[in-house]
Amino acid sequence: MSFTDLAFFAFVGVTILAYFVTPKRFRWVTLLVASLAFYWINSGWLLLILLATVAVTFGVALWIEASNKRGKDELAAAGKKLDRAEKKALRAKAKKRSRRILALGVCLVLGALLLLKYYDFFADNAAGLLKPLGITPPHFAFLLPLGISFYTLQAIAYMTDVFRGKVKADRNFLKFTLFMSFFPQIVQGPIPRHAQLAKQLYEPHDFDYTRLCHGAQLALWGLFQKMVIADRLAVPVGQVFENYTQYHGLMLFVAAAGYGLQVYTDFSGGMDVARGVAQMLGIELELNFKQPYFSTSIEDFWRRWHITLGSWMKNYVFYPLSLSKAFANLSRKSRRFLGDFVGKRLPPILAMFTVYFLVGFWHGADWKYIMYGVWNGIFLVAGILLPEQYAKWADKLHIDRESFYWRTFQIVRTFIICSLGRLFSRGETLEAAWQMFGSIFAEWNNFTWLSESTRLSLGLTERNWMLLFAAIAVLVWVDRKHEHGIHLREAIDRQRLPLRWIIYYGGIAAVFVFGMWGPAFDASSFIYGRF
Amino acid sequence: MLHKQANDTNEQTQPRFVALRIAGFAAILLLLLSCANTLFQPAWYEWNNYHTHRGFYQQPNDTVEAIFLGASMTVNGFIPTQMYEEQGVCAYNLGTEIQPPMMSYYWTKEAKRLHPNALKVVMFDASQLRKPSSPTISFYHKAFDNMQLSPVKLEAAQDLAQDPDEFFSYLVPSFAYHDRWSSLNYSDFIKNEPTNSAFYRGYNTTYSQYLEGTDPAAVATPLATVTDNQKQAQLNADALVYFERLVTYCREQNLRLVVFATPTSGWSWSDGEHNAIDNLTSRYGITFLDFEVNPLLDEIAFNPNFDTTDSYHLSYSGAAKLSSWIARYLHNECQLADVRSDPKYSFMEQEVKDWHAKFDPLHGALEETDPAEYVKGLMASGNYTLLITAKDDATKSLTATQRKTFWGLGLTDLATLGYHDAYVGMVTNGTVAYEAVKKDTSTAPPSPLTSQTSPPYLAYDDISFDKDMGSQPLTYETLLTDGRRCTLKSGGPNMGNTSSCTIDDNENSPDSRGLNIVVYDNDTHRVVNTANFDTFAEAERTLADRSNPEELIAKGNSYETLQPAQKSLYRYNMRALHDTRARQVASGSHIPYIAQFLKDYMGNAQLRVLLCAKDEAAQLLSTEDCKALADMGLVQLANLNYRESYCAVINADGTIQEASASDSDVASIQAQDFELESAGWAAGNRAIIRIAAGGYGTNHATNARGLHALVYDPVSGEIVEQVNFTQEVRTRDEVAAATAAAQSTTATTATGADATGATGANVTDVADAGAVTGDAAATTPAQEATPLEDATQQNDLEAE
Repeated sequence: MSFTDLAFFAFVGVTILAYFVTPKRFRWVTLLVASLAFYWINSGWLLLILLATVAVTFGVALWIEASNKRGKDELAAAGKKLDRAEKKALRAKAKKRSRRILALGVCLVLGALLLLKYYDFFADNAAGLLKPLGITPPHFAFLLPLGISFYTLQAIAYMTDVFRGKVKADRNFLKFTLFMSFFPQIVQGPIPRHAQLAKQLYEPHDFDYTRLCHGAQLALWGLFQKMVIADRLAVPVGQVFENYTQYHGLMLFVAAAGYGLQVYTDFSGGMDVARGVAQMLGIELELNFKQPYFSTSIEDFWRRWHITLGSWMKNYVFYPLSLSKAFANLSRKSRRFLGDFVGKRLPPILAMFTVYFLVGFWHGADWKYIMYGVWNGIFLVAGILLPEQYAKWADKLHIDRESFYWRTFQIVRTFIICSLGRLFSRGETLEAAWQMFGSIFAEWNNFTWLSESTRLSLGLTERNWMLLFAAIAVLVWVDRKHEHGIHLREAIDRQRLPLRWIIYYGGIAAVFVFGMWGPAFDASSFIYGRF
Repeated sequence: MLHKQANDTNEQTQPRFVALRIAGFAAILLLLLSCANTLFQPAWYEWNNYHTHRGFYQQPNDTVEAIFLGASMTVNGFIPTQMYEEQGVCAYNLGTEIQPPMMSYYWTKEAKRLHPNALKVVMFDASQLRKPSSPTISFYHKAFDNMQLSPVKLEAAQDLAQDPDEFFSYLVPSFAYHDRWSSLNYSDFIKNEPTNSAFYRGYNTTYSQYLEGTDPAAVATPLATVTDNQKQAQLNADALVYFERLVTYCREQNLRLVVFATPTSGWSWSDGEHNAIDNLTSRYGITFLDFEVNPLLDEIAFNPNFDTTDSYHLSYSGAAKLSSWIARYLHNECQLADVRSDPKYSFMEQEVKDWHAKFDPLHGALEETDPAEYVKGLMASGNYTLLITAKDDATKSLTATQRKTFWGLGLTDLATLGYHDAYVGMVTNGTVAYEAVKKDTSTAPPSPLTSQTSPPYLAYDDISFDKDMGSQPLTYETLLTDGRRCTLKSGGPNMGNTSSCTIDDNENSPDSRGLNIVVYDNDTHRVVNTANFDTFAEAERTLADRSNPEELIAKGNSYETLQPAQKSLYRYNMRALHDTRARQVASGSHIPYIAQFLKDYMGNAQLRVLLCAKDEAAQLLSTEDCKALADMGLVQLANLNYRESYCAVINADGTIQEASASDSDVASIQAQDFELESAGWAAGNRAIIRIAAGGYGTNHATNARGLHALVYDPVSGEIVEQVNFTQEVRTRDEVAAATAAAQSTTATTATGADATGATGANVTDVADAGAVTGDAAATTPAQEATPLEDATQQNDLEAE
């Protein structure tokens, strides 16, 4: 049951109705039943794997909390008898004990992800090494539970937050199951934090007509992005990437840029559907995209793109790594041997590389995804190392770095870098991506891609191309308004009812008529639903 | 202001307010969805699908006694109105384009729902049970979409759909067709309904009235005779599931189920298919009426040249013959009452009246030779649009009377048309809607046209010799009454020499010299006739002669003097005859095959057999062969020695001429219209068989070793069969295997870029391999027939 299926709309309708009909104290139960039913419909018995992860996470969090409490109790009991150093040692001992429990929990939930999603990748790569020994690792091709990459990170974040004492461990297993399986976000995020989401889920919400309309509008906008733009773009993009040897130069870059836009509208569209559905129920999910194509640097891009993943990486990988003792030692030593400039920056650079290596790896069990992460990592590191140099160049060239043109240049530059990076994530293989990458720079073919014959050979009719360009223009317009802090839904609210309804019907008609859906359309699933 | 906002907020939390708003919003949404359904659902007028179902629902309840279910052959094959007129049977043709048996089943249920007491007979098209019959999803939609919402429709949708989305797409057409937005045109916004009740009760007339423009060598022939009663074809398993459900349903509902095959399901009809369906129907105790074979084929006096349009679908005359037979059958054998005097069926009188008002002018026009009378007849009645274009010259033989008639009809430009002038005209519902002429001023008209000045319809503009008049054809773009885009083009020899009439980009004009007329039915939204009148050469056209060509030849007429249609029929008949004969030969039990083969063709009243040896042809003959050949009179062949040269001709009258020589000499026979040459091993090692004298024409002998036999019709030159006997391929089974191998190779090779070249290469390969090509369609002259057959079949399927 995809977000674009009629069955999903019916499911959402029934869930909303059931939620507001249920007595307030049991409303969370309605959500839990709906979430488990949704997962069951989509994944069948793989629901058990989710429940196992929930059980482990739930238990480990309680254990960590108990361990933390024990440490505090011990400290309180010993109290005044101990001097400062002894207290510190006792605290460290307690923390170490909790960390071990956390490590166990992380290993268990991460182990499930590595086994189910990455085993075959490791087996493939190990096969070459083990060949001389006559060992061939078996392939399993496990079925992947829906949203495993997302709920694994969610579980790790929760356990870590409990370990850090930022949240209290849940004591109601069923409620915690709802937190882990809430149906709008289980498919492709956003990756929620317990502190932000759990309370909203457990507390009952009153029916709010305006909120219902806003949620529906947001979901409709998400469907527009996904069905009108992303799925339509998928046709020419797929044609080029699947037959990349037939295309050259700028055409490949345009395809890569198109893929970037496809991923954006696909993922952001899915997010908006999820957020819209949640909003209709009175629950606010975190924002995952903030007009990423208006970014002025790669660093800025990753602050706006898949925000919850970036935030997760920052909180649970980057800071722990860069602030770790090992990295502090490394920094000290590198300053001694490499000087202050490099020595100061080396730990964050290494942490950054690690983060983007993991980001790439998280996207898929393939070297091309790792390369995608590394590609982004390179530019982020450059952002750390070279800002002073950039400033010098800009001053020498008398560039006003606050001007509109400079900002436009930065946006275009970022767009180009991001688009080139897409070659790695969408290329059929890493080799194919390299070949395309080389062709873009080596086989310049001007603007043949703009010709009508080329356009029409990519699987879309002229009317479809015109529609696509128009829809992208609408997307840019909406993103621009958001960028300037204008909330369109509130602007719609201010209109009179006839005009409001005309806008609603227009939106529904646009998705209904222009959307790529229905039996004649082989629906491509949400790209991030596969992760 | 604040007070008002507070009130608004309070109001918005009221459940009644919210419920009303949501209900109102949903109601408008449903209304819009309903409009979208109408807009997006394709009409599919081409095979009458839309009118068939619409008309069916307009039948008064409990009146239809018999229904016809099946594919396009059914749609073209049965005229219920005629059945009513002849026998008083109230039937309805519910056939649709490539109708899936599943839909036949559900339409039977729907018919029973609407006509619970009246419905007694269900006629089911056997072609739906054939193995290759696998309708794509669009044909399910075409048969299903116009079914009204009912428990039957819900059941059918549930059966059809794989998932909930698909289920809804069957019930709500715009779910399935919303992506038609990119191909919508003006006609989609106009839903023209017929001006009378003539929905034709599901019958779909074809505008081609005989096998015109089709190579008779490339079309299928009726089976006529079942020669092998043992052969069993595999039937389509999916189709059988629904056939069996239909059988059960008919039994439960006390309906009589009759399975039929029209005379033109020929592309894959074989002994095996006939036997398989015969067995199937026997098993269930169901009647099987196979009009592909005698005696039924003879009983309806089927004429393959005029009763079918493409060897698959019946023309009007074929449908009339078949309908007449079926009407008698339904009345006499199925005991359907003559309801003509029953007041409940008074509505049929209006339908019959409308039918005649609509069809009589059309059928009159089909037989009309005079272009002016043709136009006049169609303008007089019937809701037709006539689209007229001139090509080359349309005036040289146009008579004053014809001009006067055109003038009287309001076609003044046509009445005064000049030599080589371009002309386009459009007549809608009997009124001249548009006329335009582009004068050809670059050439002087021939006498006496320039001298005619009076009366006005003979008045010509002064001709001024003008080289700069422009060479572009006269073009007129317009919309037909149903919003379809129509473009007419006309040009004399100095303006592109063209005639074109496109409707939604489909060309319809015959594009021949003179006047080209396309007749568009405004009710059914289809082209129902096209005609060309070569009014440069003759004032009137010559209609195809329907007399038997064999009889004409027997009376002393030469083949060359026959009309094209007669030639076509002659060749078609020959092919039908020889196909049957070939099947009989192939199914014979005589071994060795070579002697039986020659014996079967020997003395055939219309065929000649040519024999020619290459390399070595003696060792393949057994003692038994030699004895049989000697008895037949082929003495030299019976006594042929190792690697000797040999050729022979067995004439249609049974006379034999043989020539043989040693392996170092050439044996040859030359006659007025054929040439044989066999050069033994030491004399060049070749075989030549030509059916044109003087060293011209194709050498039909392949490069293979052995004895080449070619059977052909000396009158038309039509090759009936060609076989190459070798040491390895001598018996019937071996020939059959080699033929199958050759056909398979042909099919594989013909999928290449150049079908003709590929087939040629294939023949060489087959010959080199020593294979035998036992069917004319797979060998040299008809080498092009196999891909041509494929192409024709493909075209027809696409046309469907």
